Amino acid sequence: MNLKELLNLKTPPKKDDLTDEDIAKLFIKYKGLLKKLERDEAFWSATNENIKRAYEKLDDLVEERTIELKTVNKQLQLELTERKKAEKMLQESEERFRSLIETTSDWIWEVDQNGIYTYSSPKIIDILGYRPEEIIGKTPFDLMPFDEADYVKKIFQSIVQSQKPFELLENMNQHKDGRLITLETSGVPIFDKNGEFQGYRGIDRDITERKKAEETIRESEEKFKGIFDFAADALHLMVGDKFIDNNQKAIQMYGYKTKEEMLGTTPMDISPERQPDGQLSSEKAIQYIQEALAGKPQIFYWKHKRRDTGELFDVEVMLSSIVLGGKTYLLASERDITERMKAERELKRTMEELKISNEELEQFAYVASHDLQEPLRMVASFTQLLQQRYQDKLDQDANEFINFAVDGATRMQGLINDLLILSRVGTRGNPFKATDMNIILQDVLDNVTQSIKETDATITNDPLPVVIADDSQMIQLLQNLISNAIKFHGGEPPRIHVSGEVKANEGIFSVKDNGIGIDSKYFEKIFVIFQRLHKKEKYGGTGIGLAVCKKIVQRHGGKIWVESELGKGSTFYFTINKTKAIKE
Amino acid sequence: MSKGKMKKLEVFGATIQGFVNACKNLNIVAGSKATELISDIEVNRWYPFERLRNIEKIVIESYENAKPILERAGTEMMLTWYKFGPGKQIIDNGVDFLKFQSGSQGYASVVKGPENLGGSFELVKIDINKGNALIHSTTPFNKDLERGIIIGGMSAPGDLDYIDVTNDEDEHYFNIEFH
Repeated sequence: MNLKELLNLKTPPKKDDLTDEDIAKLFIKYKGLLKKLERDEAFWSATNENIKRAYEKLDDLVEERTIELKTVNKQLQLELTERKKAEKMLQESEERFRSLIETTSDWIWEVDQNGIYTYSSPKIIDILGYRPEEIIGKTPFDLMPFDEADYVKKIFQSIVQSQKPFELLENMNQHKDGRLITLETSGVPIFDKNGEFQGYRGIDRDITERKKAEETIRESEEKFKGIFDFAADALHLMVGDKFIDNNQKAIQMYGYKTKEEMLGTTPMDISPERQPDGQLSSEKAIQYIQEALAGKPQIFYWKHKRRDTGELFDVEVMLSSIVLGGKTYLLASERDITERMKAERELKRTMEELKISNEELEQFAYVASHDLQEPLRMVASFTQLLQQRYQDKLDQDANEFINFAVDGATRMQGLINDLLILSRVGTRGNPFKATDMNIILQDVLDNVTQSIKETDATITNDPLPVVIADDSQMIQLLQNLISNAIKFHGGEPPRIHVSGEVKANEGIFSVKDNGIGIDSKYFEKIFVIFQRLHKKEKYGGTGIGLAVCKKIVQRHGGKIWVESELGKGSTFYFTINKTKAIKE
Repeated sequence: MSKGKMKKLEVFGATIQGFVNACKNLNIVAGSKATELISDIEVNRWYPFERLRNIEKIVIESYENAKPILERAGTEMMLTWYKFGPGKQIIDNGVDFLKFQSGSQGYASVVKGPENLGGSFELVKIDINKGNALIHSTTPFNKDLERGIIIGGMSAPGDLDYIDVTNDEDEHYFNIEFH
């Protein structure tokens, strides 16, 4: 039985079945298996040791990595929070930026290296009427009129070559509806991370209105310059107290030879040390300049001196601040009023003389009329006495002559009385006081009761105001007007209405009648002393009534006039100036 | 072993692949790393000896006690050589494997290059009746791996019941006992 057969046995062999050789073979086989087991054990032991070591390393590594992971995780969370924060800030920033771009009044754009729009903000709709998507793919020159595009293209090509920022490049563009729009363009180049030029990013501002305004200002300044240079008055443009420009008239008026010679001089160089009121010219000039610079235009008189001859002369100065090209200047306009002052002085002197003359005349009229009354009364008395005693002893002619003399003397007395009345208006008036015109009217009506009865006149009135006036003269004024209205009645009984009211600073009164009326050509004449429109046989009186009215009204600072038409009645108006009355 | 005037020591591609496959089979070097080690190896080409040394180095660095690992790898390598390689055509039994090492002919079939670099793996003596033999090795191979190679080569035919190889006294001398 060999070893293989032996090993294949299903039941152990009996002792007697084994030879010594079999036993030896089994021993070797057993020993060989043990050796193999020994090698296997060594291998698995080394492997297990390695696995164990690997596990330990793995544990350490896991622990180490766990700590690392925790740290990293913490760091990551921090970074995540920071990133979220940064993303939020970025998003907010982008939103702000977008909002800024979309709400700004300027148009934001980007073009590539070929000048083709790659981005356009929505503002383009308002500025040029295009939608952003209509702009993408176009170039700036597609939006310009042909000539302008040609011109701007040359400039832009030069800028692109330089790859430098540019700003405030003005260019004309055509709105979608055809209007021309002036844009002011600024841009900066865009480079990628490798420094390669990618195009431009920029901003366009619509300056059409500004350009128009500038044009208007320029035209206005040109007009001003034209007016300035050729004005009839001397004009100075000043900064502070220095003349920075003077027109031809100024140069001539102050005795300078050239424009340049007068530049930089001051008003003091052409003024005497003191003005007529004794104040120093320098102090007074500074006051006016400061007031004008404060926005209060100054108008005043000034004594000037010619530089070349030293001759003094008067000017009227208008000094005000003006803005030219955005800067504030003073504009002085000066007019030589030497002749006017001379005329004014002459007029004043004449007025004073006239006043004196009037006063003397009034005094003369009063004195004359007053003093004439006595001899005239004597002439009239004795003529009448002559008529009474010798009427039957004289022939017809003599009687007629005496009648003429009596009549003349009587009329002369009337005239003198009237003259006296007129002169007394100015010289014998009462002080002004509050006067109720309703009471005045009542006094007048009492005075003319007889006439009212005789003519069956009707006199009505509105409530009348209170005015500051001489009450006696108010009676005289109103009575003259009402008496005239009764006297010059037509076929109908007189109907007279008195009205009055206060307007602003004066009382306005009217006396309206239904009388014969007055032709408009006599509206002025009727107020002249002793002027009559009718024969004295038809309407009595001397013709002084309206002259007295006029003088009373004038004394009260008012005026008197008439509105009338022949056959349709008249309305007399007069005013009483309250201020004038109070001042007197 | 070639006696040519080669400057470098080279190893046959099949040897490298055999060693790596053995490592893979034993899970000594696992997965993608092992595949990576032989991804460019062709079995019929020669490669610098350093390629094999590098793989040895990986195993040695991976195990605290690499001796039994390398020995087992050598054994596994030779079992594969016998079962799936040219082994059956070269040897009929375990003693043939020892005889195959006479004059270093076995070693020369897998390594070539300058002799001073390659050394030799030579059967010094053999006594079949007593069941012992002596191999002297001056190769640059790891000696634990070589011990495994001797065990594997002798046990692969399956005719020997007992094989023991020791080089404890001098690592370059392998005392072999077999029955």
